[in-house]
Amino acid sequence: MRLLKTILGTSRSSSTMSDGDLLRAVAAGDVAAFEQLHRKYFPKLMHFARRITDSNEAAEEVANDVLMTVWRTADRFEGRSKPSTWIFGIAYRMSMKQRQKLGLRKGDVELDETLISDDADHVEQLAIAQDVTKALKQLKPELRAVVELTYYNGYLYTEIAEILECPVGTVKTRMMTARNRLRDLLSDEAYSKGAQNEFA
Amino acid sequence: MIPWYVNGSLPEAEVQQFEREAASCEVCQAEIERQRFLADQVAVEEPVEQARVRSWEIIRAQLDTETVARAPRSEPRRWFAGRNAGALGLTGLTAAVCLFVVVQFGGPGEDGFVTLTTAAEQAEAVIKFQPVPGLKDDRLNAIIAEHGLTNLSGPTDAGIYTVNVPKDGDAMAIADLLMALPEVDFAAPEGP
Repeated sequence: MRLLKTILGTSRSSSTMSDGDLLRAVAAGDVAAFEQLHRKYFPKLMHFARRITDSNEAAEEVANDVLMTVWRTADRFEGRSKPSTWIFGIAYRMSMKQRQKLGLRKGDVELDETLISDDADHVEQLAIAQDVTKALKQLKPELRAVVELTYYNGYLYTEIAEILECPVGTVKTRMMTARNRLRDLLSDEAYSKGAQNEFA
Repeated sequence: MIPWYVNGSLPEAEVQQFEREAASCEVCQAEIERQRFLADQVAVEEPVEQARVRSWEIIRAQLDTETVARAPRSEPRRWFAGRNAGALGLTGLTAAVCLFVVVQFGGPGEDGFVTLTTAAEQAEAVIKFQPVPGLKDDRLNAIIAEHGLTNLSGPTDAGIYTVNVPKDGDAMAIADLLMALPEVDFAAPEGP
């Protein structure tokens, strides 16, 4: 059945399906549902993997591999967690693996210093963004993952604990460590500049 | 609690309690502002549309390849495309005659009856699995050997291995056994 659906695809609309429905359809070999899942998750997975690996190419590879793993193992999703936390759990492990493969260590990332623009406000905004990006790159990937899952994906600490497969207390400790480290790395000036730009 | 208050995921009851406590706490207010700034910076989107399209093309091609690998003898959509009805009818008639001849005159006895799917059933199944990061080679090899598997390829860039299942092995059962191991993140059978 899966083979047949893979070959033929389906005519059923998958645009309004929940993640759980999509995953069930993917488990049954529904390529249209998988494409919908891909459309929804690829950008989020890229963002997450890029944060962990510091590389666009590596992030793209991770996102592809995560989605292929979802395709191959969707029938093993037991619904004990949200589909998205299951998917990001895969993404976390693959990103860490990719980072390990790239041999990246804390603080060995070349930073993009190209700030070419005549627009002073734009330059300042870019500088602030780069300050934050630079500061985040100084964090261990485990800490970055918590920051990213909190502020980009909007997960609660309990969901992050499921994704990282660690106790809730560990998530809170990592977040606290990340906040303290970022406060040290980012000057009050950066925070205040950011706040000024926000309200400008 | 501040980060999860800022990202809006905190349950309502905890939000109310937090806001009561933060109302009279200047340090908390300052930290909330810092975290809101950080959240805005982290949440900046970068264009990924080109990468998304490229990714889907790669994945779609991979699905097609796997489909062909799984069904080497039947590709209905491609097979039907580009042939006219007359050719289809003639081919179908020929196939029916051949089937009749095989079943009527040339088929094996009951014990060894050959079905149209026998070839596929006899094809070797494979399992794709991903061990946990950093698993030592000797442990990996031991896992493969303990389950009577043979390593065909791997690891891929994502750390996925493809292993051959022995002829009389149950790929699904072996994949389940692999999944039960703490050293294995994922395992799933592939093939017929």
